[in-house]
Amino acid sequence: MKLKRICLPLLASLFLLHPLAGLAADEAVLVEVPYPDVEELDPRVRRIVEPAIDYFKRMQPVLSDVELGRAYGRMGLVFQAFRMQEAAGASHRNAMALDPTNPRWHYFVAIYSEETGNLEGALALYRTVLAMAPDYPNTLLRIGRVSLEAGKLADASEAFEALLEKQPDLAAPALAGLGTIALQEKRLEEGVDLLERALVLQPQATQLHYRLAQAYRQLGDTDKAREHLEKRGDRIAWAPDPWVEEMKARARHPSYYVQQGIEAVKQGEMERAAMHLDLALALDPENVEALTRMAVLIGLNARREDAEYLISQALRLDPDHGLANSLQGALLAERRQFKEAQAFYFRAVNAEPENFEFRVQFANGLMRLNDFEAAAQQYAEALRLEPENASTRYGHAVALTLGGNCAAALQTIERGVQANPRVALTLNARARLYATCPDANESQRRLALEDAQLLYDQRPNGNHAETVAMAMAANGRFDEAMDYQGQAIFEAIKNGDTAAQQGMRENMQRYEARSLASAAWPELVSQ
Amino acid sequence: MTELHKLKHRLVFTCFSLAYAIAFFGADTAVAREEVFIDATESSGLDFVHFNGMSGEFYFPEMMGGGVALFDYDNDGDLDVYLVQGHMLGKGKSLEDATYPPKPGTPLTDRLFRNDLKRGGDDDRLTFTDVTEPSGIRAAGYGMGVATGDYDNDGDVDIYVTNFGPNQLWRNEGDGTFVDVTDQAGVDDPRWSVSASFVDYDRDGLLDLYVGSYVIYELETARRCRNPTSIPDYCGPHAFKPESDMLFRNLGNGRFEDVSEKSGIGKEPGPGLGISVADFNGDSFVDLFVANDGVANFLWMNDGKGSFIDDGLLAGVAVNRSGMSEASMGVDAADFDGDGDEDLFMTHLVRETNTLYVNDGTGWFEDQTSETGLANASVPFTGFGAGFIDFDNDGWLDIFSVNGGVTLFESESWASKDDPWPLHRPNQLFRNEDGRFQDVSETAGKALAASHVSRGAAFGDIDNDGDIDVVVGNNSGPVQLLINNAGAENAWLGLRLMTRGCQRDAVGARASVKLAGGKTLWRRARSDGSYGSANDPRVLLGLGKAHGEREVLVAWTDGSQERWPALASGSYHRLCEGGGEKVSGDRN
Repeated sequence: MKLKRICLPLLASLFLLHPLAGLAADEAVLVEVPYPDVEELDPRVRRIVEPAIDYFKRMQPVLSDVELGRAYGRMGLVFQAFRMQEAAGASHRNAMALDPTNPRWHYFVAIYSEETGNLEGALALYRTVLAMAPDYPNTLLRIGRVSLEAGKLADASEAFEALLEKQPDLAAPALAGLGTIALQEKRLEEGVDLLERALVLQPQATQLHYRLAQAYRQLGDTDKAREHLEKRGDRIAWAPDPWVEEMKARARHPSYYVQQGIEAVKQGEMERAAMHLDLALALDPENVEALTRMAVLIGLNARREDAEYLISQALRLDPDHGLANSLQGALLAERRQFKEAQAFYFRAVNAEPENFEFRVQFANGLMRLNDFEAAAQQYAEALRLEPENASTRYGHAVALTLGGNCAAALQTIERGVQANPRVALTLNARARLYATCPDANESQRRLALEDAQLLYDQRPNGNHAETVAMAMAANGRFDEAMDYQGQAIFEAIKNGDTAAQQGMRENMQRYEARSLASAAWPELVSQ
Repeated sequence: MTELHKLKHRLVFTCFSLAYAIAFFGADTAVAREEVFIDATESSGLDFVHFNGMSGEFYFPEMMGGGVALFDYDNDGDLDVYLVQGHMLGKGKSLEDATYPPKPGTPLTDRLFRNDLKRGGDDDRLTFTDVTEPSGIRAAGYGMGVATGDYDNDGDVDIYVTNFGPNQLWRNEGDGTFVDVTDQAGVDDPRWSVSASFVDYDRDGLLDLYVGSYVIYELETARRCRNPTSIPDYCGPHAFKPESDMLFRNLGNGRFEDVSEKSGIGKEPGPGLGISVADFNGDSFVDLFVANDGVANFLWMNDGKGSFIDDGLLAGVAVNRSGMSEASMGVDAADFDGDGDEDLFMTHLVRETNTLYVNDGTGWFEDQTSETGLANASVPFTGFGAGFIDFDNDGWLDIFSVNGGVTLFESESWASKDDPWPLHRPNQLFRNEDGRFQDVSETAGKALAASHVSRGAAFGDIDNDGDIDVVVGNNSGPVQLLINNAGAENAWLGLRLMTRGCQRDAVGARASVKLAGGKTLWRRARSDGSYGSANDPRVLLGLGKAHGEREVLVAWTDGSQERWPALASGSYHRLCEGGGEKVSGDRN
């Protein structure tokens, strides 16, 4: 396949050297729009772009200048939403030429200029916007930022000062800009003060930590510099741009494709899911949601290293992202780095306290670290979110038991059985607790034996055999307990479950000595 | 007519028309002032076209290769050229599938061209001869870059070739031939690497080897990417897991020991592209700078005991002034501001600036890209190879950077819809005017206006006339030999700094000359820097109008200093460690 290009180069960039040239419609010189080759586009993108072009072409002959300008502008928004920059730039330039009193098109052409490296052109256009509409949103901020990038510190300073005065809600980016200028001009203490004020207003603007670190380094305080380096991130002090948001709304936002990907996973259509997520990442390579979902997908395909890398990318972009932390924890746990995993599980829970899976994952991690009390608390939190989840109920009971609170374990498991009387997992747990808890009465011990035998009859496996043995012993039938325990040990040997064998053998000795089982889950105690 | 002018006259005569040549070298003509570099590729017989093996699959490595080396392999006093080559990529793909098939009969292996420079007579000329076959070099890997250095101290320069795949070490036998000693030396690295550098990090007199690694990429299983407009395009480095770099310690018996883990280098993966080694903090131990693509750069500070610590973040060179990681490709280190320490310049992706980090003398840097005028001009370009060169010999180090895009997406703004290989961009020349740079590319002549997908760039005085010429490696395009036409205006002094006993080039040693007005020039002997390329290790000092004899001070790599009181300008001098007057009060 030969490489194909989708857009023609524009004469637009030449025009941008004289950004005011298109103000009057009768002087307007329109440029050719380099329409994308829709055949090359992904079908989902094509479904949005193609009608926009068709509609424009249909209406083009019948519209007046101003209306045609607006039509160009609207089509440009669709192009811009899919980052078809050259097509968008040309459309907006034509819109600017035909509808010259509308500052919006000037604003979008300025963004185009900015993004294609024409900083001077962008600045001139932003100033035009301000001349037309002095309070046009975000324009002062953009002038400040672009002037700073262009090394025009005085202009930048003026813009940020004006922004600070006119729009107190944008104080954080304004202070960040002024702080940066101060540092560049070696007014270090003043710069530090401004940046720290910006950080107070927008603590999530982690990028400012790097500037502060460099400032403190130059001031000779390397400890403070290192402190800030530890906190540095990629988030800038910024403000939402309503016009860019509107532009994005013209297309499917990346989150739409992420959602499609999630749905496809639910339906087991992994290939389709991958396509959706790829598209989301194409539209927004730093979409953390897409990165993490993609990590799950490729992790399922056993490409662990790739998955791990995507997760690290996601965490770099958003260290507090719930799923990314959860996945990172799972990867570490897979490598038996349980303690390290726990820190990520903790962050996942903090990020999304109402996420049931994260709670359970965190609780399971605590169990691995033998912190039964904390695990029980987390299982309880998870049960608050999903009270009927049998395996969580089971986990809660196990955690309480191992934490020495058999009575509470019995309570929780009773609730589980009430909610789901036919679930083997909770019935089995209740039987074991009745058989081993010192607080259990005689009728509960009898019930334990009934349940255990019923479970064993339905599924005669090692686990159920061990439960029957416990219940038999609890009811004084030690010889039968030994028979069942022997069977349970045999099954464990057959399955290669060496971890369980030790506790089982100890219980066997106890039955031989006419004693009750040591614990409901001896394998966990002996670990 | 001077020898210099005769040579240039000859060059241009063979390259262009006689009328043009007369205009070119005629005194003070407008053309003469404009043509800073002359493209002498064709006239010199440097006949090489890079083949990247692309077939529409958008394999990541296919747009990354194109390294170049300038080195004197036959010790005849002039710079020869080594060029890396690609081959067809993809399982089951043949040349018939290639988007741009090579000319029939083109050997798809790296090439070595011998410089047959003739000077001093009536038939001055610069010509190259392809000597790959007689040299014994059979480098058939998918080439990325090349490093040069005399690792066995036998007086001949050896070559390390980096590939997408196993690398190769070619030992120079001193008789015009090379032998592949990769296995016996223990420096095989099968990972994707682009830049490497021979460096004596432990100061034992033997050149060790640093190999930068890029990302983990498997052709058949690699992720495919689409650009934001949803069409297939090249991936960026973030799509793949980065590799760790490697450090090989030279044991002196022809073998190297892998000390990557032991030294700390191997503990931190990063998609490394350009490498520059220099003593950044003035402790007389060489440090290592690695330009990482899209993540924080590494500044490996040498503790002098065999270990390195990455101090890039605190030192201020890991990320730009805003705290943002940039897509660093090529890099060079030099004292551009004349304050005696090594500053760093690196090239980046379109919509990022190329970035200049100014050293405060202690190994701590400040991003001064905007202040030095380098920001705006580089934003529309994706840069790769780069070098600090004093192209006009005025005593100020200028910057030459070569450009070329990396995605179809970014090329929308400059390439036409029908352009078959749209990543091409013109290269750039920035003139240093008292510490502030001016983009003079547009007035530098036709050679700089040419648009290719440039990657490697090697800098050196190819015609031995006292100014820096350039060889540009272009991906899927012809190599370019750019002969400097601007340096002759000013005085110069050339030095070949050599280790004790004149064994080999003393890479890392620095030479200084004082100019009138108290300005001191410091220049380092180096072959690394740029992107996947190796430079002329000789030092060239542009002296402005200061003709005549100059005193030269040399700071050797162990910190000792020696002085040569009166070296004539306008020629090269070989200075061997121990051969000058020892300067008391030096650092060791």
